[in-house]
Amino acid sequence: MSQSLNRRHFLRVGGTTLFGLGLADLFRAQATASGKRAAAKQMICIWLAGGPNHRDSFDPKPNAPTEFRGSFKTIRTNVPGIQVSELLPRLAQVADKYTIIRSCTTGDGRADHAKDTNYWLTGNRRQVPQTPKYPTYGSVVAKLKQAPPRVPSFIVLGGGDKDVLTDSYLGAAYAPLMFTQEQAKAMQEMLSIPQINLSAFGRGADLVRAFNAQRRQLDQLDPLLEGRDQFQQKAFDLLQSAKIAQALDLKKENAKTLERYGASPANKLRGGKAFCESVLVARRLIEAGVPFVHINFGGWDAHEDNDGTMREKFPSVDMAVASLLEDLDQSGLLKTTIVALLGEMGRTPWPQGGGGKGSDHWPTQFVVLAGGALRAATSSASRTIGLPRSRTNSTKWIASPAPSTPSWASTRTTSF
Amino acid sequence: MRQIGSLVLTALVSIVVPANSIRGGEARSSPVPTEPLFSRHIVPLFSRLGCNGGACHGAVQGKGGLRLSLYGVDPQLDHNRLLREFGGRRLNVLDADASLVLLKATARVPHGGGKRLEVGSAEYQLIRNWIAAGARLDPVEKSAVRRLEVTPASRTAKPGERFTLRVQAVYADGSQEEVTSLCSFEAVNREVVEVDRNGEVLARSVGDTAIVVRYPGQVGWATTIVLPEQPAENFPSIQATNLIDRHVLARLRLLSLQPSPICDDATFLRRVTLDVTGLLPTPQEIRAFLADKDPSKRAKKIDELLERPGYAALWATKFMDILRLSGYSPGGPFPPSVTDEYRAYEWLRARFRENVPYDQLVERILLATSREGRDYDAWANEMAAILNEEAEAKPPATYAARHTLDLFWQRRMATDVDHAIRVGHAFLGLRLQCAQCHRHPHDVWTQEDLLSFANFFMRMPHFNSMAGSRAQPAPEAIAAAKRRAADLPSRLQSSFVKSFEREIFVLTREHLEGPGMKGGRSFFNTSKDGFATVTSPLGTQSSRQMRLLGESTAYPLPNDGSDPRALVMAWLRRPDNPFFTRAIVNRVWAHYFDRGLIDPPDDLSPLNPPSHPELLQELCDGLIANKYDLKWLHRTILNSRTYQQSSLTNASNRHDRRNFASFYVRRLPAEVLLDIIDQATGSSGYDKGDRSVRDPGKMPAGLRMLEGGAIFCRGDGASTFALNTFGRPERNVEVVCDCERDNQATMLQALFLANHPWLRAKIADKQGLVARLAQASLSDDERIEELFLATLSRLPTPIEMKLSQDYLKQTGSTVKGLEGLLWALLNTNEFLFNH
Repeated sequence: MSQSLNRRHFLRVGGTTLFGLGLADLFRAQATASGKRAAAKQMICIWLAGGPNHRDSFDPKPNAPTEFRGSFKTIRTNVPGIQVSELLPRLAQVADKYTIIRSCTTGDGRADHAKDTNYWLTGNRRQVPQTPKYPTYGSVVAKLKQAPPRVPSFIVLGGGDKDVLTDSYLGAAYAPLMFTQEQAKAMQEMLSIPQINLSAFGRGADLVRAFNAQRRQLDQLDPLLEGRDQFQQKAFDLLQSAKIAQALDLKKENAKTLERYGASPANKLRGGKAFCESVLVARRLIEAGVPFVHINFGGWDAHEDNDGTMREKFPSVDMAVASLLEDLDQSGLLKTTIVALLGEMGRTPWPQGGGGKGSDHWPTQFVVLAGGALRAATSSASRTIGLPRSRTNSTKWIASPAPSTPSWASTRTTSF
Repeated sequence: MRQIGSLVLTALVSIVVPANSIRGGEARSSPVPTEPLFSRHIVPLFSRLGCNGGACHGAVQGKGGLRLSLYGVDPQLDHNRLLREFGGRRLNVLDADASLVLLKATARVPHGGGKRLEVGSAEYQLIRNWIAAGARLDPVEKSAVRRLEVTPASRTAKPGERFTLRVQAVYADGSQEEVTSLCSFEAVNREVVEVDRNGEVLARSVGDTAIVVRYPGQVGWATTIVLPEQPAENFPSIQATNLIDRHVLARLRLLSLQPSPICDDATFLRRVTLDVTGLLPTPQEIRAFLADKDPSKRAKKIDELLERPGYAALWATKFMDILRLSGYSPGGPFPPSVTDEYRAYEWLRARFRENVPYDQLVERILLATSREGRDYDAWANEMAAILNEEAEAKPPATYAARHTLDLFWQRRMATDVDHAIRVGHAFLGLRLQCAQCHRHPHDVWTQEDLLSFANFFMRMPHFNSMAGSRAQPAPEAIAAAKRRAADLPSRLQSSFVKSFEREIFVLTREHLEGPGMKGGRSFFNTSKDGFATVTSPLGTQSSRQMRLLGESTAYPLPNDGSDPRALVMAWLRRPDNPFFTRAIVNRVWAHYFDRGLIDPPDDLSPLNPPSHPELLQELCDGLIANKYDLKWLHRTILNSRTYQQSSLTNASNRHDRRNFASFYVRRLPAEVLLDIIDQATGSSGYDKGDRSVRDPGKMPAGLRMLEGGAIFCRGDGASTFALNTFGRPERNVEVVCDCERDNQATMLQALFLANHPWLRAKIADKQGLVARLAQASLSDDERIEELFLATLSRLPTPIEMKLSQDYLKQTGSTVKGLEGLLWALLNTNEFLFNH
């Protein structure tokens, strides 16, 4: 299987989608079959929940009839032949570092937040109650890959999609450490150094281990207790190493860097600064060795005002993600780190709702992938515009807006 | 054209496979019926071959043009489709072997599902014979399966031994037939036995298991115990304390699993106090108990604990979880009303305090009405008192004193089919949700079963119907409210009438009810005439009869305005009800043993047989004989040797998680953990700087986390975070499962205990245990002992004493040393687990 793994396989392996079990299969396949070691060791997934408009970002349609073209201009990137929307000026300058896939859909052609989010993030729509909840890719990585010592395997920054990200049949052991809005304060407090006198903490931890060892027979072979011991060990390590706490603490970060990422007070866009900070923190967590970082950035469901929403949200994505790619590239980490940028759906290429200003769900979308030795500087084609069969019934989309000839179908085997 | 194509195809195939070349196959385990019936033989065979599964022709759109009812629930429809559709090519009565059904199933013509049948096999012959005999549909009602008899029903075997199961079906018309070759078989515990598709069992390794047998419309099961080659000679002779031990020990002896010994007194006291009251025993209590020489001190302690307030608090919490009492929203869906949850909690707590017999408790929930037969003025008085208490932030004593819990019926989704599913889960331990769309492959319930059951509840008006102003509240009730409002303090008057009107909308259930099935109608899942209806991808279906689950006859529809729920209650109380008593006995068992006799404990499906069926039956009989006194059940379990055995395992029972050969350790529930942290640190309701140690919220002062935590703690404070981290349930109305409470261990929990400022502040509380111990004139050894008693509920071992002494010496400062020691003890596994 691994011999012929191309990007499509990466996105969809054996009935599962993006990274879900697909990634697990890939890790396994690469370990066993190819004999080559996988290039990617870490990953950042930037999840734009709600459905960013593909046309107004990575899939512009300058030649479409005016009613489908949208309000934003198209600009050239630093890769000849690839164009993006004017909302992404900085990402346009680093297009050689990523690949745009424009021919993706989540399958059944009916864009639905819950199902498609589940599908992208777990490879399973979770439609049927009482059936197993598939894990998200970060949990799969946590399960299959040994994390480096003293760091957690899977961290989520930003709130949203908690159930999808935390509930799975793998169990709580592989759930992420969530820095959601509700938990961020507690997390920061728990991980902060000042309240720990490290040497005292070390002696306390030793005492706990000595006490537990006295009762070792109690723990014998009980998976619950065994798991508990491992987590405790990991928690103690985490607290004693301070790596993660430092990565999370942006206080000492260079003002220029903050500004470049959009993580300075100058970023007045709603939710923008917090998101841009998360992207910067994600870079620092990757540098600290965390295998998987997931960032949630919601609010893209622009039923009321498409242009306003895209104008308010994409500039933050543009600044932060372009800076992330530049920095990872410069430090060499991009070779071993996959960066994925996507939401669960796209948006209708014509006004729908919001008194003619909104846009509705749409099954065609973009996925941007970078790093991890995935082929960069390419793009795939989407169907010209993806018209519905009938404009009269807005819920009846074309059943399958799949590409006629995916230009990337012939790209050579990707190894990462 | 189609006709011609069909003829050509038939001709071609006839040449390739002449009919007379088919070799007769011998059925391995039961004879081929000479006159096969469609509903008895052919449909079951389709199920066994996988034809009508959800991934094949049972799918909503069918597959390859053929659509069968999912798992064969509708033989009439299936027959019609096979016979009539596709130009009748599927069944060729004149040349049965040329029927497309057989050609496809044997892959002699391309078949998306591949080859399912061998030409000439017994199964092939069966279908062939049926077609050749005219492919008729037999009267379906006659072939409804009443019972499956599996023999041998229980058997012991040695590893490596083989034997065969036989299955006899008893039909509605009284006829019987062996159907082994039409069934499917599945071992629950596959390590113990292997069973093949013909019912041949191979005993593999020592243990016990049920083998589930399925035949459309019915399931049966047989149990097998695989014995060790050499029974252990030195099985200890252990005295059974009561009926529980008799059954458990008999099984352990058969399996040569050596049970763990009885745990020591300190472990017992900690375990039973946590399990019954959700608290730790106090250090004085531990010392007194250890010193007590009375041989019956454990039994006396059990009696004493069952009378403590913690018992009622704990079981009220459990029932809040089971009944999922949340999602109240008098003014609309948001925000959910915390007050109603608290009222429901206090109502339940009062009933457990009174030790109301379980059947009466359920009756007072299931048959609840708001007015309880009183006149409007009396009822308005009650309403006023309830609202007054809320306004004055007093505990809801008036609501708690009511006879019935009408709040059970006032949640969102509390009527119609949804509610029937919830009633089934809460009181019968059944998971019916799959039956909304189809007969589930892992259960026996059909859509018709569920919908007929739901019809008993269809007359309860839907909560949301108030919002639509379709019904006006009873004018008499409003008049009564206005009279009552005049007596209230003036500041409350206007808001009282308003909230009263709103409440009346919600509460006047009986006023909205009319005769017959009409009456309170809801917006969802209801047909126009008020009968239960569901719409799923498989189509819309409704039932027009009232029939209880598992019963074959329907009740006549009441047209005298009587409450059909009373019929359900009478059925629950019937001694032969297969679910009601088992559900509560099994849940109580699971509370104490971390695993039900049926597990998961809320899945009493016939496809999920109990590990100790006779024990479960005896406990049910006992509970009924004791007039549903739950404390009889608690006492019986707690006094058993099985409950009191050690969690330390030996070489023989180390892997056991099914036969109760040792006490299974488990993590403490979120609320209990927070309460015992308060106990152990001696610090509660404490605030330091800008950090709130306990969320004030609207939680009335003095409530334990076990009492109010799951209801009130919803902010962004430390206790909310802690409760969420340790897995308190949301009591989400839409979740139909006891599994919402999460008792797993996670890294976040470890981080919380290791370094959350809230916990550190409690340890360092100036009024807390450490501060008190440091100030008291005690030796370090005595202080160490006190800390062990306060956390682990026992005295330190000599090694632990030495470790603690060394730690204190290294630290220097007494206070810092004791704080560090307390921190370490709170972080031990022993503290976090009941063991």
